[in-house]
Amino acid sequence: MDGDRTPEEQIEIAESDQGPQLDDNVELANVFSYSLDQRIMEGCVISAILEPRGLETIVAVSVTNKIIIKDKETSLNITETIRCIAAAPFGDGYDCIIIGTDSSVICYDVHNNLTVFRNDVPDGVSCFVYGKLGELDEAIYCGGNCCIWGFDKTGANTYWTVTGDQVTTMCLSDYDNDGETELVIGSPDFEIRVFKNDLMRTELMETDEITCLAHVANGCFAYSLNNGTIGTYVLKERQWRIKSKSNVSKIFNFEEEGLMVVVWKQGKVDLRFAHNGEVLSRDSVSSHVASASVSKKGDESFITVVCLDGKVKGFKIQRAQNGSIDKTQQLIREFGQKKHNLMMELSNYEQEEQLADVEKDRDFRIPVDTEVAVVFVVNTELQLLSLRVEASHNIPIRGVLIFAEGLFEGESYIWIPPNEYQSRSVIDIPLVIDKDSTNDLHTKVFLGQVDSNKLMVMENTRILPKFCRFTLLREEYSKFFYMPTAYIQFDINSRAAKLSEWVQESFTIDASLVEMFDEPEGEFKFMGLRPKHEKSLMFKISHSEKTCKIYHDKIETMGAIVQSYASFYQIQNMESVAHFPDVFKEADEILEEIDPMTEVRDRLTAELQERQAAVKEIIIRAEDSIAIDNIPDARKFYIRLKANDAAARQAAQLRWNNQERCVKSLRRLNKIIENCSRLRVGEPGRQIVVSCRSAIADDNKQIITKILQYGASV
Amino acid sequence: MSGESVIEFTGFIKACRLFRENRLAEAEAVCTNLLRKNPLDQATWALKMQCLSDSTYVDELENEDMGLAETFLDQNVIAPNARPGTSFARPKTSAKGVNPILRPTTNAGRPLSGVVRPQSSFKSGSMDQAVRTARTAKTARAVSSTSARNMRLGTASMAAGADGEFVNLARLNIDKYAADPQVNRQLFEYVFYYLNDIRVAHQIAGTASKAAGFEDYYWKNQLAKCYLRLGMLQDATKQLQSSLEQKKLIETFALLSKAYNRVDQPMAALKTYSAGLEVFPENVTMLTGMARVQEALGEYDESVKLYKRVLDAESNNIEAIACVATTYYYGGKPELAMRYYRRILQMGVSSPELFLNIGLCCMAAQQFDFALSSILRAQSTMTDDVAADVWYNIGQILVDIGDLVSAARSFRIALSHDPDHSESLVNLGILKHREGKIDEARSLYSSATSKNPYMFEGNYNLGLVSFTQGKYHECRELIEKALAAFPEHEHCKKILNHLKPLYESI
Repeated sequence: MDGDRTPEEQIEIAESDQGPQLDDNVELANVFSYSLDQRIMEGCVISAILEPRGLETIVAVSVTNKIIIKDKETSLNITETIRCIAAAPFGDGYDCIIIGTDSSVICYDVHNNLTVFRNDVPDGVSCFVYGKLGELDEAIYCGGNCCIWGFDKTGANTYWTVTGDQVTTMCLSDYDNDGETELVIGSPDFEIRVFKNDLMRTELMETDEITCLAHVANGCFAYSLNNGTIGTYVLKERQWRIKSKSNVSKIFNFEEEGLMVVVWKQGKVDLRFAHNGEVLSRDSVSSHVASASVSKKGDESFITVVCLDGKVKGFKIQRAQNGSIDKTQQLIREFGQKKHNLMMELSNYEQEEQLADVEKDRDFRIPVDTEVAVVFVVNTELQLLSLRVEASHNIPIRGVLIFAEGLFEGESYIWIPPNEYQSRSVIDIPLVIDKDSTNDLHTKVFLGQVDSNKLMVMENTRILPKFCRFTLLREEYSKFFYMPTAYIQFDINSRAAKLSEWVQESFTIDASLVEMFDEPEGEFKFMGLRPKHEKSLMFKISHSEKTCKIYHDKIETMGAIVQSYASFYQIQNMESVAHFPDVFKEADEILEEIDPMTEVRDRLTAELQERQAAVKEIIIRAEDSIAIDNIPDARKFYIRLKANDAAARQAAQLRWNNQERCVKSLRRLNKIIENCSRLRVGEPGRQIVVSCRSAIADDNKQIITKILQYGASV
Repeated sequence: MSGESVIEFTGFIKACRLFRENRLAEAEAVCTNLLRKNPLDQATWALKMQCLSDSTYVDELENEDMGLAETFLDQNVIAPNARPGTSFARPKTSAKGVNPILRPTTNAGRPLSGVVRPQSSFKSGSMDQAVRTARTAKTARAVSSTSARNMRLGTASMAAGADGEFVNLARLNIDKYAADPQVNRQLFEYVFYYLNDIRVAHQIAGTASKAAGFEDYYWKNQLAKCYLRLGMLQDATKQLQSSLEQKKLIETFALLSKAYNRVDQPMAALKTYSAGLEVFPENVTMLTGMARVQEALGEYDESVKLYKRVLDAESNNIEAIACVATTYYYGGKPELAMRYYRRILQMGVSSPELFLNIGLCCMAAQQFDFALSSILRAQSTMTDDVAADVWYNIGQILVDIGDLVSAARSFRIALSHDPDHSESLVNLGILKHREGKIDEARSLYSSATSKNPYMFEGNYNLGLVSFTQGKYHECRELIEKALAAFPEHEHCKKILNHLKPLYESI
């Protein structure tokens, strides 16, 4: 084992400062292995102390939906589909197992054979985290679909908030190093969200689905994505990032500060520095990993890796035996590589000097002052945003390579001319953007004459504004403007007097036109570009009344605009009045149909239960008949059993359909609340969530639409 | 004077007075006449429903039958192999527990209790074994499941009505009447107790609970009863916990503990009973429930303490007296047990079981004159269902006084009353063994173990015979079964140690 990086990895370090240099003579060592003799469900392995003064043991979920406890011959039967498990120290000196299923959270005390609490969570639970969040007491936090629940040791619901998408991973970490932990969640919509108490403080945009979050140190947490990226954020900034081809199963921080353990799904186990991601030691297990956990035995900590086929392997960190030699050899290899590069460069220069002047002319030289301009161009007729690459001196462009994460399918875009003789010096590359997000376009342009076999590479970097899908409308194109029916209105903060600065940074706009935004009164119309070519945006500003109105029909985009505006001018608190008739009507419909749906669910459940009882009874009677050799009666009973079983299955299907509709409505309602919360900034946004929660709990549904529209403080 | 008028009640007021005097049939007849004249009279309608449901009222707290379907096909238990002492399926089996020789066990492998209870427990085994076990009218267990019993009760009640069904549920506007606080309670109890239609009752309770704004503890309790009948134990638990937050009732605590017992979580049940005792100190229902749970867990000392607290609060509680007496008798204090049984006798209970128990206590306490007269009294009043037990105990007494011929005759009479009486089979086998008839003894032991697989005595004695006859493999199997029933038996351990070298040398 050595510290070599695999060729598939690329390192991108944001900061050059080095963290505290730790002793790099540590490595992973295999200490134990055994088998659980069952196939293990992915992501469902924990380590827990299940009895007073007991040892930590492994708890896993098998693919047959049973909870397996190592060192016990038993398994726990859960009737609902298990999605995740966690351990929480709710017992007296030992842990209870928290089980998340499709529709509930169960806290089970293994020692006393006791269900401590069982709470309904309508859309199920995808992940758990236990700990202390800000000023709140210790609780188990459950990530559901568009909402987050918190339960204390008695099962009381102490925390509830909404979020924009399903929560796939969570961790508690001190994000801003102020001594209080925040809740960091990851979603399939590429966002990492940070909640301070129940106020969403920050959104961090990533390039793929978040798969794992882990606390590393104060002010530092680690993340991993579905495309194999891992990295850390330190004090609100991304510190480093490493790309890999395989996916991460689990990340932990280890007991020593500054180290982290990364367990990959295909079996690798890495020990890395937390400050730069450098690999200290590497080991592997033979098959695909279900999950991993850290456990303590006395003063030692162990990493327990559980594979999908039930095999378990344990590692610990110990002083390395061969570390120095490996480091030396690595250094020698690096120097050899540098020598080779320098020799190649030198030989190129020598060849250059030996060429005659006549040969130089036949090489189709490119003038030394050639420039390449990369600008954004709006094709107004097609309502399309394009990236224009233009080379001076009429040099043909032989290829364009664009790196922009999250913008294209994959991570890059390659443009090649149809054939060599159609090369030209000006090309337009269309950009169809799905998300509102700032992005860096790294462009490499290949220049060369048509018959030349040598190309010149020019690099360029351009920042794509966040709202580049909108462009300012000119009078001659007013036919493309569709007046929106929805708007929000808020007071202009004194810090935001000069609107032009924000508009210039966030929109695709000509620099010469940006001054008009600073006039005391004005209406500014924006045209939507593909794929928002039928959506329009309008600002109406009145400095005399100190109000600003933004018209747009999509509430998600409106929320992004408001948040961008507030963060640009560092506004911490902002109220607004929202007017989205379609969204509010949808919310009203959902609220009206939730109660009847719940009643129907109760009725269907009772009916299903009755049919199941009938099925059970007929089974007993049939077995009775067989036991006393009464075969004609047994045949009769089994025929009846078939009919009753079909009826029971039909009732179950009905109930499942009703439950699915109910859950979908609740999910949509949570998303609406979250979108309306993002139309406000700071405390008013949090108040909307709290007030909606109270209104739903008190069955006071009439005021929810008013809360969504006017805010919660009126 | 012949002209004096006599006051006579007529109409609805007459029905009310009859109902108050608990003359339900007459009150119902009056209501029927009134409804024939005016079918839209809601007050009379409600009163008639109340009469019908009161006549078939069942105490839900004691209605705990679990049939084969509930036992083997339900999946409510989270941990089927929980830690011993925290589950009914695995009670404590340490040396602190009872000795199977001193305290006999039932056919299901449980130590005997002071009273017969509706609920029976299965120690182990599969559904196939339970189905194959012979079930007679004496078995304290429903044939297949409790729903069948409930259906039969309902059907029998409905057939009694001369003009057929009183309320046509298919045509009744349930949402309308369930939301009416004047009649919804009567309608619910009629549907729940009289018609036994749990699904419609659940619908009525749900609608009534919603009409009350989810603030009525009564409807939450009724919903929980429906859920318990339907087997939806999680929903029942939720409703009962919500009801307890509003108003603390003894019934609510008891029902919640019952739900926990159904999912095999006795620690949760004990916790609930303790919470109930904080609100209702020294309540007999709470204490009795706790005592039952502790007894089922094998904590007999705790159980006796709780029963004594019951007797402090309610001196005439027969269950508590009988359980304490049983523990004293099997604990080697027959004089104390005799006093408790005589107290039951003083309260007017007169049954052959009681006289037999008194006779056995007198016998153990060397009071032979009282013993003889009590046993003769038990013999003269015995019924068919306890005849086998009476004759078995007579045989036991005859063995004690040395009259082996009469003892053998008594055991045979016991077997003629109940061919499945395994204790008589074992004792008869022992007598045959002493006479030197080994094959007959062996046959009797085999019958005993086939009737009662968890019996210690049958397995041990048959193992002993196999050991002397040199059938070591059979002996080993039997001794291991006996050790499963009685882990501390020294003779079994010795025999097993003798056999061990034979297997280890192979």
